[in-house]
Amino acid sequence: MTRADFYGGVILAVFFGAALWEGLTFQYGTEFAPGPGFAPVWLSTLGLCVSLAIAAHGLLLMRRTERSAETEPPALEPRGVARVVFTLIGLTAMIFVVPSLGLALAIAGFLLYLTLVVQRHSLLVAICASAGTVVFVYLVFVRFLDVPVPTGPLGF
Amino acid sequence: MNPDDLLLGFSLAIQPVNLLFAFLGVLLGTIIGALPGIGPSAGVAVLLPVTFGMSPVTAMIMLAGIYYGAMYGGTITSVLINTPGESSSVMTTLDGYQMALKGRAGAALGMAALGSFIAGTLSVVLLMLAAPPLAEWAVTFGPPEYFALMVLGLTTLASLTSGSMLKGLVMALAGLLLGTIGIDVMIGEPRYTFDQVELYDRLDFLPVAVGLFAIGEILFNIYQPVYTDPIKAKLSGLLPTRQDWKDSWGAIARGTVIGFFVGTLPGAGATIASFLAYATERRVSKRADKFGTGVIEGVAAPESANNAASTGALVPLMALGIPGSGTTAVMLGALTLYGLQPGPLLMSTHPEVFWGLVASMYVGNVMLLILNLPLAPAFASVLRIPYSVLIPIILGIALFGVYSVENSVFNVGVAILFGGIGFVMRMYAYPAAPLVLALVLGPMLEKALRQSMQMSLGSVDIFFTRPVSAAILIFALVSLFYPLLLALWARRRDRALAGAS
Repeated sequence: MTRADFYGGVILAVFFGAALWEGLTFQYGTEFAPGPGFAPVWLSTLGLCVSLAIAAHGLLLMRRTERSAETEPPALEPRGVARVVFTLIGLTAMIFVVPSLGLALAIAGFLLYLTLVVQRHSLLVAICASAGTVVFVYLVFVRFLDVPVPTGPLGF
Repeated sequence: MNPDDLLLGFSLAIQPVNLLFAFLGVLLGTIIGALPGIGPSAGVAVLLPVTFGMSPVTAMIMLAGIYYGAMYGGTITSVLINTPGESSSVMTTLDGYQMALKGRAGAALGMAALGSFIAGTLSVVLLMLAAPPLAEWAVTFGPPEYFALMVLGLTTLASLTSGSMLKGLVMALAGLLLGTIGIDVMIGEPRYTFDQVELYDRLDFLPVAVGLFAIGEILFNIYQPVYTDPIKAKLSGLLPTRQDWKDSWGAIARGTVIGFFVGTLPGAGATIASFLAYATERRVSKRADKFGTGVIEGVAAPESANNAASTGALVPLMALGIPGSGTTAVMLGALTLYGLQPGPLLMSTHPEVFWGLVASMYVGNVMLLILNLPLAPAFASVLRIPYSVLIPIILGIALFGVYSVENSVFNVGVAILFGGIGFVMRMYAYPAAPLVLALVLGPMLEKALRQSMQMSLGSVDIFFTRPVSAAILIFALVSLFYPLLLALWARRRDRALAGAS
């Protein structure tokens, strides 16, 4: 994971750097105690240092790997990544259709898409798994626990 | 310990509703433990919203049941298909699966269940004896001591999580930083809210925990589907023989003691406890060379230890309000969601929660024994359900559950975002537990720090002039640098050996 460690460290360093930048705009201290900016500034500074250490460690290992002519660990499996990306797209789309379809229908639709398109189950299995799950959770949360959920055109 | 407290606990634990939810908790815990790909942290996080309509006692009884039930369940897959249901059962595969290959799967599962029962019950006695005096002592703690204790919890978890210590540490720092999101409680200044009203009242821990533990894990299983091997082992003869008992009683006793004490340490947890118990057993055994070939004490020791550790982990949670692992961090968050203030005063202000939980654990361990001995084949049959079919069910419960915490679609979005992050973290071995623990502890840690500095008029000396906080902070520093020093020492020794040869 040498290359991944290097890039992971860099991404984390960017995250902590941005947090530090924003943290510097908060009030650092009050008269006798740390202010709202104290923790963000110190935490992001420490995080930045540790992230850079991870990146440096990754870089050192990369150089060593190159010198010893060792091979890097296998790359990502493209089909697996595609399945994950499609799942995340489905989940994100679900969030946007909740106001118009209601929570139960939106989740049912997403589960149907997941089982049918991403997991490639048969239509029967997909319908049973998605409808069965939503009916079960609807009964538990809405009927049993009285959780108010956004409703859709079908009234649930 | 006041016997009336225990009587109060039992009067609550034997109420039909609490018996029912203790049973449901241990049953679901066993199933969650048996399924590779979903651990107790994810199980507790996903099922936490289901407990919102319950009293805090009933809810904690159910959540704890899931936690220790998962320790039993993890054994089934370890023994039958050589795949640990969760990390604390890894050591059980070494001898458990070998026993199954020799036709002794029933004896391995039987001894694991009996060992877990004995260890679970004894460690509840230890919990009952250890937690109240610790809480009584901790009542005298001020903000500096609390600050030091929370730092210790985070440093040990960061350094003891598997893999790179730097990655554990950076995740803990990220969690602490995420914990600063929201309106500052002392000055009222918004931090990292980016004008999102939903973020003014902090980032809820549950969507983050569900995202990292459950959705992230599910995405990983979508990336790399889990295929469980068909079960070939025959399940018969679940009751151990007299020789099995003779070989195992010492392992159970040692596993219980090691497990409980390792469990009480913040960050150590059931996995390290089972590793230590197995290693100890191998060292003290007269047939050390036979370990890994199917000896029954190789099953009894780690199984006793992981169960005792799950109970031991409740000591800092209930006595100090400081969780030591991802699962207990979720349980701490649950306490705050029920409107309780975790900490040493919990036992005096809400004795029913602690004593009801303690008493229910005696009952729950009996239930688990009854469930696991005759019903082990039934739990094994759960493994025949393809994991891909369970994925939509777990996701559906997780999404609905996250929404129900605050009736907020925003929280569902947060869970999905952290699900994606959790997947990447899982791929590149960044541990999730330090992040969740730090997110839960972060606001408390910052409050304790600022209160301490107010007490000392802005000087950090207060942490080093008070003996308890100074001792804890030194211990935290040692826990952070000890693995580093150990690695440096090992490297130097290897170089010296290479030079000599």
